[in-house]
Amino acid sequence: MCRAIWLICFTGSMACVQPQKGLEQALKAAGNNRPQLEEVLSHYSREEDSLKRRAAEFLICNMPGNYGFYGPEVNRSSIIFSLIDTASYYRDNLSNDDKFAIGDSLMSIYGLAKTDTAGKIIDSKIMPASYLINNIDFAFKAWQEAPWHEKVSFDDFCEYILPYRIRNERLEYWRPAFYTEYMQLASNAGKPDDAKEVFYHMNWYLNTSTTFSAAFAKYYPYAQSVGDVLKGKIGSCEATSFFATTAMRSIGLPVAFDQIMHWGNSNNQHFMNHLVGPFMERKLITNENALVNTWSLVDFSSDYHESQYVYKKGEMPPELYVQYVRTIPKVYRHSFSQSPELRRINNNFPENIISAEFRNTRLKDVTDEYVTTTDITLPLGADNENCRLAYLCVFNINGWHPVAVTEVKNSKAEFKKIGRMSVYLPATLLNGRYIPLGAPFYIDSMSVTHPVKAEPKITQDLKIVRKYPLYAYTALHPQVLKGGWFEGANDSSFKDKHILYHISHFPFYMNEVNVARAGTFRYLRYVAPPGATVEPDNIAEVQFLDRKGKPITGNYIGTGGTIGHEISKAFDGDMNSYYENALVRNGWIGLDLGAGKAAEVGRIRFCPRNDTNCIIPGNDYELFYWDGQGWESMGIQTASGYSLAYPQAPAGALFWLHCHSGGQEERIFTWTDGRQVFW
Amino acid sequence: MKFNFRCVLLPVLCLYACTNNHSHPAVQVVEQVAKAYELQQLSYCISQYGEMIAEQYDGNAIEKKDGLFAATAQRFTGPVALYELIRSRAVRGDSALEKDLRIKDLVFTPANLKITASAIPQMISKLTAKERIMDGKSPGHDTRSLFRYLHSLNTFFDQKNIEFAPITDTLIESIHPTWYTRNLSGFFGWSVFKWQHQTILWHCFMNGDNTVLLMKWMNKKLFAAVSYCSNKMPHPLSYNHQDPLQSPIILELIRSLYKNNSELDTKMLIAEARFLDSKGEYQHAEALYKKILLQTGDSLLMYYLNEPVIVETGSVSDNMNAQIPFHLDSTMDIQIFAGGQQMHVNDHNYAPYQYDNVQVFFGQNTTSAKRLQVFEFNYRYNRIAGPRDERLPDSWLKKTNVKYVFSDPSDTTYTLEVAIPWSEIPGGKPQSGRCVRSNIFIGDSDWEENRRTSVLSWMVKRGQAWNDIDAFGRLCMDGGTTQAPQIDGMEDEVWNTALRQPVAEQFDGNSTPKGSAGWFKTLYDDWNMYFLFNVADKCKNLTGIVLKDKCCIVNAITGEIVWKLSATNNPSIIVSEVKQVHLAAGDYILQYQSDKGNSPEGWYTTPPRNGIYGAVIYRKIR
Repeated sequence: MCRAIWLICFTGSMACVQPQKGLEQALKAAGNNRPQLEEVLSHYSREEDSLKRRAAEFLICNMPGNYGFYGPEVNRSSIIFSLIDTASYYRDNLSNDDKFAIGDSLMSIYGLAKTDTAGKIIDSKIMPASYLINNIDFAFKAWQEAPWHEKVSFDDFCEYILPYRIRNERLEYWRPAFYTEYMQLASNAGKPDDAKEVFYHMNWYLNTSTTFSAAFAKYYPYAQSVGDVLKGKIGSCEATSFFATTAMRSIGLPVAFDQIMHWGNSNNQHFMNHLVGPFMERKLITNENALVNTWSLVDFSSDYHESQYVYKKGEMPPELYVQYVRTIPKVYRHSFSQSPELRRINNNFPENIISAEFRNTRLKDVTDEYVTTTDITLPLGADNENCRLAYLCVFNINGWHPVAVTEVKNSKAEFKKIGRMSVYLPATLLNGRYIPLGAPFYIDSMSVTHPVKAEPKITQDLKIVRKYPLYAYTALHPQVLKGGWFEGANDSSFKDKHILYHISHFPFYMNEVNVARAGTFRYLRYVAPPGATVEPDNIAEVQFLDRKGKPITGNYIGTGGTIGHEISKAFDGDMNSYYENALVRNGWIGLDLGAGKAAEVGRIRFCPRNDTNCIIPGNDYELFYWDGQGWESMGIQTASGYSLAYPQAPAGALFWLHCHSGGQEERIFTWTDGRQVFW
Repeated sequence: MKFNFRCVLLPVLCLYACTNNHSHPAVQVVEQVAKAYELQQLSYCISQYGEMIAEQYDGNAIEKKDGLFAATAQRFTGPVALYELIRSRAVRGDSALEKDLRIKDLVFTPANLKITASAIPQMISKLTAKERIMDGKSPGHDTRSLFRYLHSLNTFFDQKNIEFAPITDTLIESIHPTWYTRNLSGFFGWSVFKWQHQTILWHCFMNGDNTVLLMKWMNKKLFAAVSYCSNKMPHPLSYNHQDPLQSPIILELIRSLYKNNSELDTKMLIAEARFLDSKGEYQHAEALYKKILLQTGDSLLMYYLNEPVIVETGSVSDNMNAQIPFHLDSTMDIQIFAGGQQMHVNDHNYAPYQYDNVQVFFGQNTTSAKRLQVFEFNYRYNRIAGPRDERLPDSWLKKTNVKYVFSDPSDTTYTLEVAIPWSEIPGGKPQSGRCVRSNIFIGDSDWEENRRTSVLSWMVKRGQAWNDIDAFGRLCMDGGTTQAPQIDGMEDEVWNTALRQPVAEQFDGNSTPKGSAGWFKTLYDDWNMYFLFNVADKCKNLTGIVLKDKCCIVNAITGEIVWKLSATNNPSIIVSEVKQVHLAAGDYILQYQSDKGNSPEGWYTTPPRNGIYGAVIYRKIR
């Protein structure tokens, strides 16, 4: 009996740190709307409703601080969803470009939507009793009718099934409609009684019903509501994961909405769904660059599968390596209750030293549920004795980006659960800028911390070939060309063809080969290797040059390309555009020089489809190294070839190659064993 | 001791009068309509959010009609009572009461289930449970008592069924405001009508000239009970319809509570014209009918306006899947008015064979190679699909000298006449006495326009490969023709000499003789091979156009589609059809399936001008 009471007390403490005090504070915060919240509590005053009452208390206790974006600006921006929905009645398969066109039209009328001027409405000020009761009743219905009900604790139910919102979306009355809608979807899973099977089944269906586009955020920079996603069917992983989480919660699956604030070696953030509880066998991601497929643990965290071709030694230039893994520094879970640590930080420190990311107190650190981690303590030294909050930041082209925060105690910053194999800069926030508190460092797979510090007295000569890691999804493109060939002919059917060059290697980036004398030809073409299997035949550039090095031009001939990737794209001198065979395989492309205009080919340049993150002749690049306080320039160079030479660079330093000619994909690197190692 | 009723009632009535709020729009509407339409014996009771707004009673309308009084009390309270019994586990929700009827079906009446008006009280009477709702209260035997009881039940319903009740008057919107009545024609005994993203529940009880109207606006928590006596004002059940928008009271209430639109204006004109008609003011009525014609632009519909319907879908809502059975006592011609929406899609570019089409295969087997050529003619489509290779997407022939014309000799058949130059047939023209290897497929899609459900073949049998040239038939060179047929889709005299070859092998799916069947004839000369195809098809679907709202009449016994709403090449997404069909006596089902939007529930585009969104079927007027 005593144990039972203790358990109730303990569980009750999850709702509010001091339940009665917290509840009273929450009711007080509701102001004129207090009677509505009290009505909810009294609605569940009967003995048999005691669990629902605790659920109601959990929601009400944690309601302060929860808000949604509202107001004319938000309403104007949200018109885009109704327009897309309406347009979808006139056009089948509305493309992302169509949706962007609608967004552009709206922007031309209303201008760019802003988040800083949008209105916010606090939940507790507007929450009607009927909404909350409905939400609680349907959440219980979903939870208690679920076949896996007994495996979901009340605490998990409160955090991952019960909440009526996930982030700052406009509130909508979604629960019962979703319950009826998605029970059907759940029942179609292979094993509808198995929470894991239902999770995978629904996750797949719900994610694929919305087209992915991070660029859409400029048209609607607020958190999309479920109604918005239903109408617009477009959004980033944030919107799709939010929608899937909501739908899965509606049928009683305890699903968390988790966020990687920033990848360790890529420029973006990521959101994902996570089935909470004893349903999954959990494996941890090591962040080591290895031939592993971790997609099922975190989507987009790896780009490797067993049937993928792996380059052997000597098959790719020695200065390159393939990056298969996106590293994960930290993972946070969006919860309905507040994180004690972040609440303490937000209660005890002024807002101007708290980064925007951590002003949200409903983030729980769950990094160790995903990756192998290390706890570290950084001594800050006498120079930083006034520092009160310390951050770990990862690199972004727009500046260092915080991924962890901690209070400084006794001139030490203790960070827990830090993902390995990412470079972190310890820093503090002052006047909107991150001020370094020490040298950048990374933690290796053995949990050993390595500072990355420039040694100005020791120098090294750098040959730089890229500004961004060569990810596996880019590294596969040269495979499409190996086995292809170039030929010339004077008959349009190429009956009299002469092979000019055969591609027998994996051609990374721009290649230039000399052609032996073989006479003049009216027709020149590139023939893709027969029976393409990796991707549809594609190629970024084909350039035929005469004996004097002058480009040979003619009319385009060959197998037609897909829309946007026509034959002309291979002859436009732009490495960014590429040809792609509309018939998938067995294609060819070439030039008809015209009657009487046969030419002799002296050289051929060709380049596979690529990410243009290699060094491109004519572009302006600037190399920086981290000097302890900031990025120190080593000078701007206009590339004349496909690599840059920077002699006498400081050894051990952290570098950043910035391209002034455009592009966003840039990552920091160190120089190890004579080549760039990206972070 | 005799009781003086007057002494008691007078102060009570005064009290009612004091509580009446005549400024409420609903009250104003009822009183104005009553005056304009000369209603007698008017009683009404209007409440909102559980609070009585106004009430007025004249018991003569229903109290002297025992049947009407009992029907109103029993029919309206029945489903609520049932629901309570289910909740209290007095009865099991899944126990069959009748062969195909469950308690659930009485509470949430699916659109595809026909329940007679008497079904609900009959079912209730079969229950032996003694539990009573409302603490055993039951209505007294006067109008006031009945309406107040209905009002109490209504409030009780709202309170008890909070899980269904949409949230009102908050900043919080509902993503699917009417989800709880999705694909239902009945909800707790009410008839369901959806309008501008809201659910309106209604009921009409009749006995002679006496009418009781019950209305409930779910999102506004507004309840209204009205009874009156009139033999002139149209009501929702007039002309065998079940259309709440026939009643001026409901119409005006909707106009006062929701955004007005042209459809409501037209409906109001119709109600007024009918009223004038019934009063004998024919000239005034005629003027209004002319006005209605100007608005609807459908003279034939005007002709049928005041005719009794055989069957209709009623107002179509989102995600509706209604199957309404009907019976014809005798063979007759029927007049169909139907409308819905269509969409032009691109899927025919990679799978044209999924639509109605004729495929002509030619094969050449030589010792060195096999050559296969296919020409694919989609019904009334302006392009021919070309060579098919399983590894490649289908492509439309860009250059061809093949000539072809479709025609429609009847509503249920189509003809295709083709001339294919020998130069496009593998191997060219054989020598006299030799043969061309060929096969014919007739593909048929019905309900789903872009999903082929049947393939009839000339020679290749089910289980054989479609491209097995050895299984192809032979078209032999045994004379030819000196006169080439004119390629116009017509069976010229020259075709009389050609042998009719049935295409009857069921290669894939299933066909009924009336669903899909065909034959072809061939001729040849030195330049071309000629084909004439005749295909029987009840659902001739146009390539690249899919109906988002599907409507058809199905033979209830055979399941065969006897008529289907057709798409048009019109760029509009609204499609409407006026059709006369000859039907044999028997049982049929009118089927209508709508998609997630674009209906009276919430228009995304201009509604059909003639107001027909769904289907209405009349006996044809000679």
